[in-house]
Amino acid sequence: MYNHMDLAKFNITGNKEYVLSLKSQNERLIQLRWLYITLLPFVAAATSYITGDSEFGVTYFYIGLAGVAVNSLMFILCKVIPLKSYFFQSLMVIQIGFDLFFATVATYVTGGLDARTTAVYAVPIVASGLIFSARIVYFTAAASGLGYILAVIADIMINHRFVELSEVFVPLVFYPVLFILLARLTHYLMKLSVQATEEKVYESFLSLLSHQLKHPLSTTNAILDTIDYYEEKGLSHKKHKKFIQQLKSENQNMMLLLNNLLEAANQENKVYAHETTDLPKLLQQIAYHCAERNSRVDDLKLHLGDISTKIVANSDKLKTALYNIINNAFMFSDKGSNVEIDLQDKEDTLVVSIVDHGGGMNWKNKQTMFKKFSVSTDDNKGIQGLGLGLYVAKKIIHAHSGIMHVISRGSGTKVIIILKKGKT
Amino acid sequence: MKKVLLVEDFPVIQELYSDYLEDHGYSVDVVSNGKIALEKVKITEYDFILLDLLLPEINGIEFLEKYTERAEGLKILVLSDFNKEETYNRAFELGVDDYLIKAENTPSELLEKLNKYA
Repeated sequence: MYNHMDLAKFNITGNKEYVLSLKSQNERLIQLRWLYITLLPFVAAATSYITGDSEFGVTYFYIGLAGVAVNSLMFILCKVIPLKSYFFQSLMVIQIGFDLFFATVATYVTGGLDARTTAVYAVPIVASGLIFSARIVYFTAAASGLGYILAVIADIMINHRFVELSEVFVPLVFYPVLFILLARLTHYLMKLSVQATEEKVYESFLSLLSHQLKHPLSTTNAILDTIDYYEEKGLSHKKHKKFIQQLKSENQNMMLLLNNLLEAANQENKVYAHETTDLPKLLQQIAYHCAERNSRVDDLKLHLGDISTKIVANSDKLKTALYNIINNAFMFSDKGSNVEIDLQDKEDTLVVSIVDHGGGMNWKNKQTMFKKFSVSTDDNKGIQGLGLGLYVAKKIIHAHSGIMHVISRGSGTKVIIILKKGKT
Repeated sequence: MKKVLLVEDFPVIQELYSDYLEDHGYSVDVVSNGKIALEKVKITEYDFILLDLLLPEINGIEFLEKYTERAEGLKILVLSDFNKEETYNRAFELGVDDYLIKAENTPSELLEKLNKYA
């Protein structure tokens, strides 16, 4: 069974850091809320009782209890429901919305204009920075301002309080402006935090890239060293052939890594298709090359028929795409199981299918297979490459106005590529 | 005969290093990830552990964090192309005796280093 790994987030210091992970952001938000929606009201209640203001004390106490109930529910939801990014994003937004509602009710209940709870609005504004969305931060600030104004107006009208215009004007302008300034500061801190995290991820990724590119070189070095040693002892023809094959394979590995890296870095999504390419011949070349590289020529089954069809393509790029897909078929299946490559001519299109009988893909692999830096790992084959093969293959196929499907149910995987013939 | 545990996931490297060391009088067990390595060290006493870092399941650093009860005289050498200062420091904090870059330590060069310890 193949497991999934996201190379871009790989960090090998032993501390499993959730870089910009929504789950960890949400957990931090819940921790923060235990403080301001639960602890702070109880502290306010206690100080109110101590100073003899039992009416406020009771109000704050009930606010605190409500905070405990709501936060406990959020905490349980976070732990019980499976991790899905849209759920955590929504849960965080709901929590901030709830806190604004609480702050508004608390402002009204504890005296509107005279409320000591106005400062509490600052906390959900700053906490909304954890969601890492500028829009949500400014929206929270605007909603805080509006909530405060509504709480004050409601207190004045419902409780028939008489206030001078000058008394009400300053706070109704001052606090909303303060909230917007807080949002601006939060946004700036958010950007600094994202930048620091991105730099760390970039640094980790560069180390990993260096490792994966050095890998074929290390292997080549080790093979050459071994050849040196065995030549003194006497190198058998069989061993000699094996070492030469391994050297060719590592060389090809390196070329593939570099090609994929360059293609992935290329922002353009179009190809300059200017050559007439014999697709069956190209498929045959690549298939045999991959089979030899994996020492599995006997497992290769080609059904190209008598088709001699040419298509208009960028043959170098198409070669890279097909190589990635066919190489994957060999890599993720065992020796002795067939890799079948089929070509069909359907009037305006050519349909290529590549089938392996390996372990197939689990749910996670299917979700991430076309993402950059996503690799499948296997205990017996190690972590190879940069997780760019299928991403690059799909990009190139689409750039040729083609379609690529991957089907994997249970065991084995089938890749179907449909290419337009074009005018030759 | 000195016993070596080679923790390495790439089959070609496994074969090259283990064959070379066995040809030179070492007994070599090969495992492909940190999880199996942890099970192995519970039942067998090794003189050397050669540890790759980028491994499936449990990586090299995680193995070092979990493998706390170590035999006296055991030497742990990291053998990896992962060249990040943070990782290098962390490995030494966790008690490795050397950190060897694979690209700069072919089988014969590794043998020299092991012989020095032996």
